[in-house]
Amino acid sequence: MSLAEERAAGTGTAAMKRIFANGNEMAAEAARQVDFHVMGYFPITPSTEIAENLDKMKAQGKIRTVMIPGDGEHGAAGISYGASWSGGRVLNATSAQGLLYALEQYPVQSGTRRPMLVYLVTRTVSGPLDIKGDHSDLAYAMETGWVVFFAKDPQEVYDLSFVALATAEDPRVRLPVIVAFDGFFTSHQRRPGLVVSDDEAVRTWLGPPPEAPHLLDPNHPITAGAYMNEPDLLNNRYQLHLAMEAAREVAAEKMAAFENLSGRAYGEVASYRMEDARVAMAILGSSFDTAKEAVDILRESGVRAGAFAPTILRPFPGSAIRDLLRRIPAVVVCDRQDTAGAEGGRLSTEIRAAIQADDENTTRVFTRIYGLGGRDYTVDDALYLFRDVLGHEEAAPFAFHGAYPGEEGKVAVPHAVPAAPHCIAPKVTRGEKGLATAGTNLRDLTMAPARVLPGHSACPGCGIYPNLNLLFKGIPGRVVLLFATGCAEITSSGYPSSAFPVSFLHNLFQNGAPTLSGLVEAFHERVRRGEIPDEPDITFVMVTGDGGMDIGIGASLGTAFRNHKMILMEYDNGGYMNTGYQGSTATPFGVVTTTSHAGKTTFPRDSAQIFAASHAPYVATVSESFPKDFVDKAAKAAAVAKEDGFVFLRAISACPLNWGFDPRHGVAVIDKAVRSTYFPLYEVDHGRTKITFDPEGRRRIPVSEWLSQSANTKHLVRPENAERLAAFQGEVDRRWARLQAMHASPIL
Amino acid sequence: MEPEYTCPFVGLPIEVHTRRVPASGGAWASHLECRSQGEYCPPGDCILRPPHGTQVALPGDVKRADTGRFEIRLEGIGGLGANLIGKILADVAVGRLGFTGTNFASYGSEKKGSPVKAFVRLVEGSEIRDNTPVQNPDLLAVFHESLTKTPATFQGLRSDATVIVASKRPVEELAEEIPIPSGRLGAVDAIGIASEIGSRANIVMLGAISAALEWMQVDVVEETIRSLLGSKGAKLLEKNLEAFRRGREGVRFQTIPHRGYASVPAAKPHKTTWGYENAPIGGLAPDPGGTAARDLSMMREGRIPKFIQEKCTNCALCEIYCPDYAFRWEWQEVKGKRQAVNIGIEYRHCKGCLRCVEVCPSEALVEVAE
Repeated sequence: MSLAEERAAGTGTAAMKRIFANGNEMAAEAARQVDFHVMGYFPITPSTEIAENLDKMKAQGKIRTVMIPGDGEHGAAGISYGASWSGGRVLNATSAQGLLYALEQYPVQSGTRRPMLVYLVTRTVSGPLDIKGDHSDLAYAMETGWVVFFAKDPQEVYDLSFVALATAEDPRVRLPVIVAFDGFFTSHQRRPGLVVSDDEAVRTWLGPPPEAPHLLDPNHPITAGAYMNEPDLLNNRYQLHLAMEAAREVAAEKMAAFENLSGRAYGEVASYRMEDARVAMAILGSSFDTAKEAVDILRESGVRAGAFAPTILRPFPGSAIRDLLRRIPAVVVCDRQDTAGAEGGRLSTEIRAAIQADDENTTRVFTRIYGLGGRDYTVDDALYLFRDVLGHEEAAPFAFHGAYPGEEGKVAVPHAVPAAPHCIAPKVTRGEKGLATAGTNLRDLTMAPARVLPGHSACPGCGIYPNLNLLFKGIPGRVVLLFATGCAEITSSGYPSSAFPVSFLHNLFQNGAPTLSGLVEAFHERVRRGEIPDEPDITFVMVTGDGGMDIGIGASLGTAFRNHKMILMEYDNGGYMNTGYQGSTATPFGVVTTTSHAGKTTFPRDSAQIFAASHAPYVATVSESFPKDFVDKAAKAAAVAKEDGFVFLRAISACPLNWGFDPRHGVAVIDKAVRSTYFPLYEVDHGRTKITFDPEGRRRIPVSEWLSQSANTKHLVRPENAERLAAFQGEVDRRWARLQAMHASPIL
Repeated sequence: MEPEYTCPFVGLPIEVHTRRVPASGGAWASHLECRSQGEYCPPGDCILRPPHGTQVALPGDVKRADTGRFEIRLEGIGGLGANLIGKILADVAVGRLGFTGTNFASYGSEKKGSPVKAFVRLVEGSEIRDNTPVQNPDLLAVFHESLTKTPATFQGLRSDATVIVASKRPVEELAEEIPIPSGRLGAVDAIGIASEIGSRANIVMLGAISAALEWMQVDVVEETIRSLLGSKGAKLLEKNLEAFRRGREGVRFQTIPHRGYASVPAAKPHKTTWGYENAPIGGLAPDPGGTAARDLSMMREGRIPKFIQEKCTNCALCEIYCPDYAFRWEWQEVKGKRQAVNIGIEYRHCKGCLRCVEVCPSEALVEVAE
């Protein structure tokens, strides 16, 4: 494969149209033109916009692609894997934790040789949680047996989409492929770019997917995924190795063919002023532009600098890099990721390995870890790194660029002033009719010690914090908290501060409940061993949104089945609000979100009933519009979590931002959800269902009264949506009638 | 070396600087700008003083170091719509006029009320070699007057920059308070104009910004507004177009003479209190519980609850429904009995959602202008 210099601005056979788009929009535009059969995905910043754009196009009838938001990235990868066995074209887009959560599926996809395209919009891998861009996720992707391209800007995202897909599907390769690009720097920065103006031109170029065995041909049944033993697996892997090696040549062919169409030339490595360079910078992605600027500045002052960036990482372009570096004394390799303990990030270690195979090469390699967690990379940074290795006798072979020791004389004491024990919570008693409370005095409970402090950064009028306030009013003694990722977590615990005068842990979406269960069991074990001598009155509480409950429902149910002594409260605001309102399975029917532009087609998940079916000792729904009922249930929850085991609480939570109502009306909005029995209030106390607010005696309002209050739902009460409204009301009626029956019968 | 220039008014030698600036139709032109500031300067705008300058033809090729770059930073608060204005400005400049450029915003979660920055960067030539936030803006627009109290708002301002503030106060009065070292200050009553029309303040700001940029063709901006906001209905579109025109006409500029101090230096976001020497191991927050010390008053939009103690029955509903835990209570003896009593609002924590006013059954909480 030849080295391409700069992407040439030549002309190809296809007419081009200039558009102004960011990397995510360019990816969606390429995907629109391909018109994939299925996109299985799960929203994760910063890649979400790709699916959002395609979902919108789907609603507008511009694509035929079946858009399937999974139950999490693991599920999304499963959806994609299954769809790829149809013989059709399949797309996914993900980032960071999303990739890692799905990771086990990636080698399956490559090992069973199912081509598909994934956009990996790179982002820092947790923890600590940081949603900004670096290449720590990419390092994992490079281990999966997938072909991996890296696009430096939105134009390359578009162009490489076609090159990558064509490479992946070629019968000599037949591997899945990743097109990676920088989260935020490329995904969210708009730049002018050129796209093929005639969809047919690019579709003809790509052609239909080549024939390969699939599961949907009854005349040719196949057995896929058969397990293998030691005589065979090595051979299977060797086949994969050969395919990956073939990808070098195939990718070069496809790049040349695409140049024919577009006039834009690519090579496996992009290089800039390398021909006579004495010092080089190796760098991936969007930072290559910055490096070029530094090269020009250095050249003006007489320094022969150059820069290069691999466009393809799997297969790694070792031979091209050997050629580039043969006569160059020093290369500074900028890694936006650190493989701790390996004396360099992935780019460094692979470049070292590549030039080691060349006897004539004496290039010294300097690793500089930079830009982690989305730290900007300026021209000054690039100039500093070049100059740092120019007198390279003394320069360190490995360094972190930009690490900062902290303000001198500042010492951290990472303990909050502790909240006092809560001594005025309602008293809970147990009788024949089940749990009962006494002494609930909402006025005096204003003096309950705060477990969450003011100063959090939630939107004005956010419903989460009144829900937390009411929850904690009911829980006596001390609390230890775990929040799963989400609005409540993001707004309360942004480094370096937090809103917690009690012990608090954040863990990722899907794994909150198991994490807290581990802590609970270790607590009891340490008490049994006498290491925590006087058992303090601690209630363990986990809080998650309905998003965390989407991706985490399996793990949460497992925790309920094991019956650990803890409370799990889900605040249901009907969507992924922290990231701009993607739909969750708890989103109401018919609602338009950024992942359901045509209106959600399914009824909301009823997690209280799901947990009731786990036979957890106490399950209840709560609403801030019924504060005493809420506090009483929180008190019962605490009593059960102390003695009996697992408690599930579900609160409905107003989101003025994404529902679209004046924040002042939050309580009234929520109240109508309860009075319409969209969100009925009840408890399941050791298996017995009790409706705690029955609107039948007064007036059970139609759901339209609830739906008409907010911008996200009011379209449902318009005449053209009469059918959808009737379906909505019918489902609410059905669930309410079922609940009434359970209330009436202790057996149910 | 710059040639020697003399002042067209008084004939004395002056220091003149040439700069590449955006010109009509996506082109770049050279401007001559006077950097001298003498007692003999005429009052008001001078044709040689930034940001006007005088367009001149430069012979030969433009050298790389002299190529143009024009950067806009919009300072807003989540919900004010500064991001949309960045998009429109960039759509006009890059999408329609054909400049090479980029547009993006500060990245964070999608919250209302948090500080937001939006950026537009135009560069001469075909390559954009900078993907970092705009540190040295040529034009800075401040979408809420409260942001002018934060020095960071003016970080890295170029000496010849234009600053536009949404404020109903006269520009002369603002000029006294706002610490920009030189350049030009503009003021427009964006909120007032918007509420008169029934539009939004950000579109008024767009008008004011376009008035400051000669190359920003009015017809193209209007066309862009139509294509971006037209789907929301003809009536609203007309209001938006009117807001845009009123912003253009309503903005008042004042030249700021060199005040003898430099801009607030550009931000160095990585130099924070906690680093690898002193940050607790494992990412433990060094300041747990520390949010309580924050002042969130910037998140309000001009309306606040007022507490009237005499009318309060201590029913606790305000405390229960306040998302920001802004109510303060204490134990008191009331008729010989100990009970919790509402002693009022901690305004540092109040975000002005007015939930408390809605739920108060005894009119002890009323809505007032801040």
